[in-house]
Amino acid sequence: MLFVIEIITSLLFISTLAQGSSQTDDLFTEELKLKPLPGGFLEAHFQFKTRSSFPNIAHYDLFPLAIGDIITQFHIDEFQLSLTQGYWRHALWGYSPQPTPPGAELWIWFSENPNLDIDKLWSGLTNTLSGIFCASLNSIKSSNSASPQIIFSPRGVSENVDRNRTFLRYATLPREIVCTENLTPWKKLLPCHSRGLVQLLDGIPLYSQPHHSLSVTLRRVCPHSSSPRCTDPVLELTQSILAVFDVSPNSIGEVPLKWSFSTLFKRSITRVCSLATESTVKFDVTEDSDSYKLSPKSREIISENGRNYANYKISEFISPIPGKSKSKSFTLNFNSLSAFKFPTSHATPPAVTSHRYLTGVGEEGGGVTTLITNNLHDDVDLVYMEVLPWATRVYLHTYRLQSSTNKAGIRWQYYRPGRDRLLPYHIETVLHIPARSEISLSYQFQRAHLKWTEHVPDPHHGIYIGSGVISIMSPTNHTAPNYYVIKFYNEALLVTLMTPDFSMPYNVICLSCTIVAMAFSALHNAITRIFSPTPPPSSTPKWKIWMTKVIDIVTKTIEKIKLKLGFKIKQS
Amino acid sequence: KNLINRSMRDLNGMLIVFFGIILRIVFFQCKGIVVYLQRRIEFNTPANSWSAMSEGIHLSQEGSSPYQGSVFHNQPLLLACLSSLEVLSERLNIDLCFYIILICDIVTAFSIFKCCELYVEKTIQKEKVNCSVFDKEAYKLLGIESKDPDAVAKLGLIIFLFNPFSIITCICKSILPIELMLHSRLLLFCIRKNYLGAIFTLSLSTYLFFFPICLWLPVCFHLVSHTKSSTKDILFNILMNAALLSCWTTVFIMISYYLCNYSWDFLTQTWGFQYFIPDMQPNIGLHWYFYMEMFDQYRQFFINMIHALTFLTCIPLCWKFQEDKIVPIFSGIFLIAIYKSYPTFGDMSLTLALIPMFSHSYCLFRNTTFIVLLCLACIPGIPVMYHVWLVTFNPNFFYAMTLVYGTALMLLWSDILFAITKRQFWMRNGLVFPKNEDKKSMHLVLS
Repeated sequence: MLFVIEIITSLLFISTLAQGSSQTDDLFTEELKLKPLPGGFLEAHFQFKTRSSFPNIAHYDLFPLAIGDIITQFHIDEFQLSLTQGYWRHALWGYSPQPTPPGAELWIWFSENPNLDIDKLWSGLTNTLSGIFCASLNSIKSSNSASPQIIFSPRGVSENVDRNRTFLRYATLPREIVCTENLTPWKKLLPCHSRGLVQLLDGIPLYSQPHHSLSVTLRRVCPHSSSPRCTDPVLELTQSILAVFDVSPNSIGEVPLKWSFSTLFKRSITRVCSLATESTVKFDVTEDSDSYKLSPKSREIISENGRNYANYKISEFISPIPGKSKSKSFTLNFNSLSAFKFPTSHATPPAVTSHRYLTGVGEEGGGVTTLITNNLHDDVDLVYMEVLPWATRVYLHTYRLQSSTNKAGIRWQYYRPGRDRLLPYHIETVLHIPARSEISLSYQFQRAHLKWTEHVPDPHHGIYIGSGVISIMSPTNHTAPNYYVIKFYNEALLVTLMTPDFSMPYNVICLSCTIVAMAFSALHNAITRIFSPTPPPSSTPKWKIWMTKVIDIVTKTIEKIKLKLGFKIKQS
Repeated sequence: KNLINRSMRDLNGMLIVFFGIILRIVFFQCKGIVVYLQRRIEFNTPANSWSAMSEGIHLSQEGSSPYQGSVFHNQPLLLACLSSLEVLSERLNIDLCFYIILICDIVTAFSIFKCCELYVEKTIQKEKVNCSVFDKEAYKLLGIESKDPDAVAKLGLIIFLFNPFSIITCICKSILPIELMLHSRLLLFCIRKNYLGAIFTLSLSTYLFFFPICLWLPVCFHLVSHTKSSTKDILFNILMNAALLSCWTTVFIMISYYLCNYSWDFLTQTWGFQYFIPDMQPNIGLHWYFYMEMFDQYRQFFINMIHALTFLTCIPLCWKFQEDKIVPIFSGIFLIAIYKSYPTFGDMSLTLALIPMFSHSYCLFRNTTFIVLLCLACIPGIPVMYHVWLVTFNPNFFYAMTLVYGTALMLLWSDILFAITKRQFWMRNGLVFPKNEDKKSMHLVLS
């Protein structure tokens, strides 16, 4: 009897232990998705997900301490920081799995607490993040931060659906360059620094690609309860790297195409990260899977979100303990067969594409034109947001929408005008675009003249206008329970400003003060002096007086010399 | 016969005005030229350009305050008037704002005509009355008796209406003609001793454009009666005038406060904008490059200093020109045209047209050739050097040309003042001096 009770209690204890271990919620998974893109490119998307309990982060063995400190110190609900080099060509490659604009982008949802001073938290946070990631995020100030009104809704679980937008801050630095200095601290946030998929991340081969992006995303998820109301959210930190490799052949006729981890990343995976519950490499085999050969052969094909992936679990290929005879490195090799052909474009073009460019001649002003094309067979409503620096002053009265049909229109617009040196120009528009048509939005701006101390280094390069953000909800009726948001960016623009001569401050002050002093002297003479007659100067002109004096002196010296010489001659 | 002469003269004047109007309307029809000129910085500054005004009108019609941004810098009263005009012109499909600015130009032209005529007539009368004080020979040579007021006034009219700068300012639809109209009306009210008109115009002008504040004391001085009243009476009158001016300006500010939905943010964007010069868009004045290259610690000091020169200059001139009280006002208008924060070429069109008022001192101008040559060099040079800046990234050439322009205008101003003073001296003391022991004639020197 007692034995039975013991077994039951031990079973209960084990079950509670099991419950407890699943409820510690600390989890680390890593995944690499490879996908061929049209045009001879290969997309490599690394995702490292760390989950931790919330609100009190119990231990930092998986979750990075730096991020945990930031969350508590700055009352963060969600944030995303991305550092990107290159532009994701959504018209050619489709939508990005991790959409980011060129340069740096940071958006943060703070906790909805009315006692918080959001401006102070924002500036403190940007400085802290710039220290953690060695990026110059401290140049994010109020003059380039905005609060989007519709875009950037919370991506995770939050208390209310319609949150107060003053707690959201967004800033983009298009000028920011990404280098290996940013990769190193990013890698340090991972629990496994040198085991698992991180071994593939070498700075130099990765950073010579046409597009590479580094991002850190934090949000709250609810993995356990399926009900809409989440009772126990969990913090999820996603660190991802998205790189696009140019794998097209270097010379014409160089078929078959061959690439492998050693040619792409110049590395291979030699060790397994034992802290990771899942460590997988996936290759997208949905299209044309007969025209190439992958080695090692994949042991399973899984289906995710409508696409088929060849799934490789790293632990099956490498033994977890190094030194054992079974361990070897894992490298994926791709060899094209004779039937292989590069897809030049997508079979189905992306739903909505956008292109933005500068217009205008001359340096006093200019214009920005955005083309948005709807390739779907349905009308679409989308949100388009642009944040322009204060130095490009927007003339909203020139904002025009042109389209070939009458049905396209602006449904709603939010415009926050910029203040010189204080606030940027923020335009957020909800547009309705009919099926299979294109609209063009255009407006004019005026270029400001900065003081000589306000110009950035290399001022003749110009200033950047950050990418515009387009966000579509799909499907378009958002009463449906499962919808996802497509977000993509268009091009960043470069605007040259008229620069002063930086070597001239003292000269300019002197010259201008001289002119002002001349005016003042004329005024002073006019006021303090009166005309009065004075005797004329003597009739002999001055030069005659001086000439007589000079001749006098010269003759006297000649006589002196003559005397001396004569005396000498006399003596000799 | 006198009547026929007079009607011929009126007809001549009317013809001149008619041709001026026709010129402006004809040039306004060339849309390409208008669009090009609306972008030129020599005629459009952030304070008076039409694109800034239409941005302000658009924002106020959308319901947001145009003073939240940094594009619009005019007063709410002007915004309200022009905004309602724009609404009307959209309905009627004609450009009403251009016609209002054209009417301002015509009013300015008429005021210049009347100013010159009345001033010359009054001076003739005054000198006739006081002719015993003057030396006979000097009076014959330098006296204004020989001048025909009508001819002088017509000259002023022609100079203003056919000045290409005033034509361009009108067709650009900039706000400047309103300022010129207010200044010319002010001068006319002062000459006619119309107290209420002068005070109302001056307070409206100060409210709208901030710099006419330097004309307060000269105008108050001028409006004080010439009878030999005690200093206490004079002071009292001046203070009364100043108080009336302040009252009217306060009324305008209060109307703006109401129009802006009870907020004061328009003051920093209008008066604050004119005083602190935050926008350094290039113009033909001296301030933009000065403050673009200024060290931050000294910026406020230099702003205060140069504005002090503008505001305080006319005050000592009031004491100096006690007999000819219109000179400080004219001098004030001239200085505003040169030293205001965002000048344009159009500012000079009014002052040039008012120079014929002092036609009695023409022969005593010393630097005419020099000034004319300087202007001939820098006025075409300024657009050329602006283009050179766009090409070579070097603004120093353009800056040098604007300095030359400033020097030329300043020389003209000082020349006029000295010519008037010299004429007064010659008139009193005669053209020939008593000879000294050397039996040589005496020289005239400032001391």
